[in-house]
Amino acid sequence: MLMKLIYGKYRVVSVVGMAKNAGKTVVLNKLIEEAYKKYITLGLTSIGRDGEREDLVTKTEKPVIHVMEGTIIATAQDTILNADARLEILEVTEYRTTLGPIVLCRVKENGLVEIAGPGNNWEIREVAKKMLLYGVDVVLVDGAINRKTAASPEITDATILSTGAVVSRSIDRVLEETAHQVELFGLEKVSNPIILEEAKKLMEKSVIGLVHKNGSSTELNLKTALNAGRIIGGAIEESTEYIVFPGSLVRKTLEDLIAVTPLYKKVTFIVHDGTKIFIAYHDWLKFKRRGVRMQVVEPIQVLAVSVNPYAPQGYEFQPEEFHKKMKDLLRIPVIDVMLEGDDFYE
Amino acid sequence: MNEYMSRKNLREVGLEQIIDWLPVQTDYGKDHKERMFPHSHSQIEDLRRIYREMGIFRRGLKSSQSILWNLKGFLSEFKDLRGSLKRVMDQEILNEVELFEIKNQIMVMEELLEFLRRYPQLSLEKFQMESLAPLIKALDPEGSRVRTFYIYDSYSNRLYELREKKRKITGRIQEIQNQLRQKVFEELEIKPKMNNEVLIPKEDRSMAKRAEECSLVYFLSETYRSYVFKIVPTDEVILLREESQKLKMEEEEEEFEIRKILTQRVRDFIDEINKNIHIIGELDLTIGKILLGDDMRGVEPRIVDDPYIHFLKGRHSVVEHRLHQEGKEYMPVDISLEEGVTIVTGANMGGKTITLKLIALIAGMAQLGLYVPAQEATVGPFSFVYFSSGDGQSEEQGLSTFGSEIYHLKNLTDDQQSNGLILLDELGRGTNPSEGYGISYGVIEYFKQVIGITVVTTHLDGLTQIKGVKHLQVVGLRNRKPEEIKEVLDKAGDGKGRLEDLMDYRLEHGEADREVPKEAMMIARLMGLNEKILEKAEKALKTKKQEMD
Repeated sequence: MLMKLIYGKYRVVSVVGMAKNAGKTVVLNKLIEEAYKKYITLGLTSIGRDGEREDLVTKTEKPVIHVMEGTIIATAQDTILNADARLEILEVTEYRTTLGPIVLCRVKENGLVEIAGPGNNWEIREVAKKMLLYGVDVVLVDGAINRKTAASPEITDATILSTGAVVSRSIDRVLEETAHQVELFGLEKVSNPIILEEAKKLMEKSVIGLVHKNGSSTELNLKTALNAGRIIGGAIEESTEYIVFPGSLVRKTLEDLIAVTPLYKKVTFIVHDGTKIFIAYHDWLKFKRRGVRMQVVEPIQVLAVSVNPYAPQGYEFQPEEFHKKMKDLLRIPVIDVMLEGDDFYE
Repeated sequence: MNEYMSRKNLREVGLEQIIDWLPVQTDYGKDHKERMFPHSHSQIEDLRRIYREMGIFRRGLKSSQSILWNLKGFLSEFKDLRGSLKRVMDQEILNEVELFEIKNQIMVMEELLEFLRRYPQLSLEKFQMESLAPLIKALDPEGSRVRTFYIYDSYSNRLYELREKKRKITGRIQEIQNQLRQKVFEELEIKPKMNNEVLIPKEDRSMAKRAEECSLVYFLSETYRSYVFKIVPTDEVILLREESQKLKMEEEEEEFEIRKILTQRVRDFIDEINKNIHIIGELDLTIGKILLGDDMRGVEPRIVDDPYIHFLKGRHSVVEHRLHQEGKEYMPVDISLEEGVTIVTGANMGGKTITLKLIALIAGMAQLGLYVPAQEATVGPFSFVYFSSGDGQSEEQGLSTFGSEIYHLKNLTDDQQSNGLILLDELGRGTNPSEGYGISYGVIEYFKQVIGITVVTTHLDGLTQIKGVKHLQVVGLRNRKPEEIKEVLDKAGDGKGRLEDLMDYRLEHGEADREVPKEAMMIARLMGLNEKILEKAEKALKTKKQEMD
C-alpha cells in the first residue's frame, strides 16, 4: 500500500518521525517487505547525527533492519563489520563518521544490519545519487529522531511522516501537532518566479534579504536570523514585500520582528522549506492571527502519515478513532502501522 | 631545509609560496613534496638526474594531450593505504573493508602500470611499477575484474560447503513453514503473516476459540485490537534452526581463516606495494613540478659544480602573479654573480629588494629541482642561503632594525660557513650614515675573504669603491627625460604617482667610482619643492663631498 504511493513517482523518499517511538522503523520495515514482494530494488540509508557525543548517545537508536538480498545500503564501516547480513562491498566513500567512512554495500544474503548513514544533508544526497547509479529503484532515507531535515527537498523527493500517541497524552494535541507539521511541510511555494529566483540567490549567498515593490532588494549583514528580529524589523520599509531567510526561522526572531514594526503585515516571509521553521503549533496560530504570511522555495511532498496509537509511556488511544480523526483532519493517506488492517486476511 | 634557509627567509623570499603552489593530488605525492630538499654540492649528480628525467617525462607528457588527463585520472583514484599496510605488518588481520580497499587500489595500480607501459615516451626507469597480478587474483578469485569485494564462496571448499548447507537448511525451513502456513490456513481460514503470526480480531470470539484449540498455533500476545497466535514450529524446524546457527558460527570462523590467509598474501607483496606507492608519490610530484613549471613559464637551469648564479630575464613569480592580478607587467631582470661581493645601488623603489629575493628564489628552486622562472639560468649549489631584509625588525628578540641586523651578522660570521649565498638588503641602514658606512665597509671586507657569493644593496656612497667588489646599478629613471617624469607626477597630483611605470628595474654594470644616483633631488625638483630648499641641499651635498674627498 505504502510502496504504491512511491514506486514510479519518487526516487528518494525519507521517513521522519515526530518523536521517538512514533513508529518510524515499523514503517520502514513495512516498506522493505512490500518492496521485496514486488521485486523493487531498494537503497537504504539513514541520516546520522553530527558530533561524536550525540553519535555515542544515539548509537543504540539507529535502526537495526532486516535487509533483503539485492538491496544496496549506505552505512558506516563499523556497522558493516558487525552486520549479520552478508554484504558485498561496492565502494568506500569519502564521507566520514565516528563509526568510520560511509560504505556502499550490496546485500548478498538476507540478515540484520544497523544503518548509520552520513551526518549532513549534502552527503545524504550524494550517497542517494550513488545508490541510484548502482541501479536501485527507490532510496529510503531513515530520518533520525527529531531530525526532520531528512524531509528537506534538498535531500529527498517526498516524505512519510510518522506520528503517534507518544507525542502527547491528549489525542487532540497529537492531532494538532501533526497537522501543524504537515502544514509547515506543505507551505505554499513562492508564486512569483522573479521573487523565487531572488530568494534562491539570497539563500545561496546566505544573507537575509528584503525584497521591495520595485524589485530592488536590501541585503542585511547578519549571519543568521537568531536574535536578529529587531534589526530585521527595523529594516522593513513601506515598500518591502518579502523577507528571505536563508537558514532557520525561530519563534524569537519572528516575535522580536513583529514587536518593532506593524509593517510586517504587508510582508511575506520566505524560507527554503518547512524543515527550516522552528515554531510550535500555538505560536504558529498566534502569528497567523496577527497576519504573518509564510512561503517556501520548495514545498515538501508529504506522501502519507503513519499513526501509532500506542505510547511506550503505557497509554494508548482508541485506534479506529485516532486513525479516523487523523484522516479527517489531513487530506493525505493515513496509515495505522499497528492496525494490521492491510494484510489482515491477505 | 632549515639549514639551507630559515623558515623566516623561506617566507620572505617567496619560496614558501612557490612550494605551496606546487600541486600534488595524492597523499603519497604530498609526502614526497614535504620531503623535497635543496641539493647540496655533494648531491649534484642526483640533481642533474632529476632534471634529466623530468625533461624526458615532460616531453612524453607533451606528446599527447590525453596522457596528462589520464594520469590525473589515475592519481585521483589513489587513497592512502598505509594505515592498512601498517596493520598488515603488525600481524593484525585485515577486515573486509580493508581488503576491499587493497583490492581496489592494487587494481588501479595495475591499470596505471599498463598505461605507463603503453607509452614508451614515459618509460623512465624510476617509474617501473611492480605487477601485483597474483595478489589481484587472490582478491578476485572468480576473475570478474569488478572492484567490489566480499568473502567469495570460492575461497575454500569448506566455506562453499558451509554456505551450501546453510542455504539448503534455510530453504528447508522455508518449505516446512510454507506447509505449516498452508495447514493453518486450511484449518483456521486465516492466512498467517510472513513472520508466522496469526492475528485474530478480538471481536471474532469463535475464531479465537478455534485458534486456542488448534494445535498448530500457540497464543503469543494480545494487542489492543487482536490476539496474536504464532505457528508452533515442528521439531524439525527447531533442529534445523539450531543447525543453521551452528553453521553461521562455523562460517564466521572460516571467513576469519580466509581473511587471515588473504592478509598473509598481502604481506607477501608488501614490498611491491610499497614500491608502487613510492612511485605514485614520485609520479605525482613530478607531474606537479612540470605543471608548476609550465604555469610560471619556467626553464630547466643548467647545474654547475661551484657556487654560481646567472640568469636572463628572471622573474619573481610571486610578485609577477600579484602584478598580473593588478593588470601590470613584471619587468624581468638579468644577473650574473660570481664568487665575492657584489654591491647593488640604485633609485628608491628601484626593485633592489625584489631582485635580492629573486636571486634567492632562483637558487632555491634550482636546488630543489624545480623549473625556474627565467629565460635561461645557471646555478651552482650553495650550502645555505641567507637573506636579511633591510627593515627586518626582529620581533622575537625585540631588537631594533640595527640590532636585528647585527644579531644576524654575528650568527653568520660565528658559524664561518662557506659556499653560502648571502643577500644583505640595505646594509647599515638601521643606524646613522657615517657609522653605517663604517660597519658596511667592515662587513664587505669580511665577506670578500669568505668563499661564496655575497650581494649587498645600499644607499651609502663610497662602498662601491672598495677594491675587488663588483658594482651593479639599477637603471631606474636614469634614461627617462625630466619632462616624462614630470608628466607622470603631475597626473598623479599627490606625487605618489605611478613612477613605477617609468622605472627600469634592470641592472647594469656600475663603474667602481660612480656615485650612488641622486634621483631624490631630481624628483623633488620636478614635484615643485621650493627652489630655495633645493639650492641649500645641493650646496650641503657639495660641501660634504669635498670634506670626504
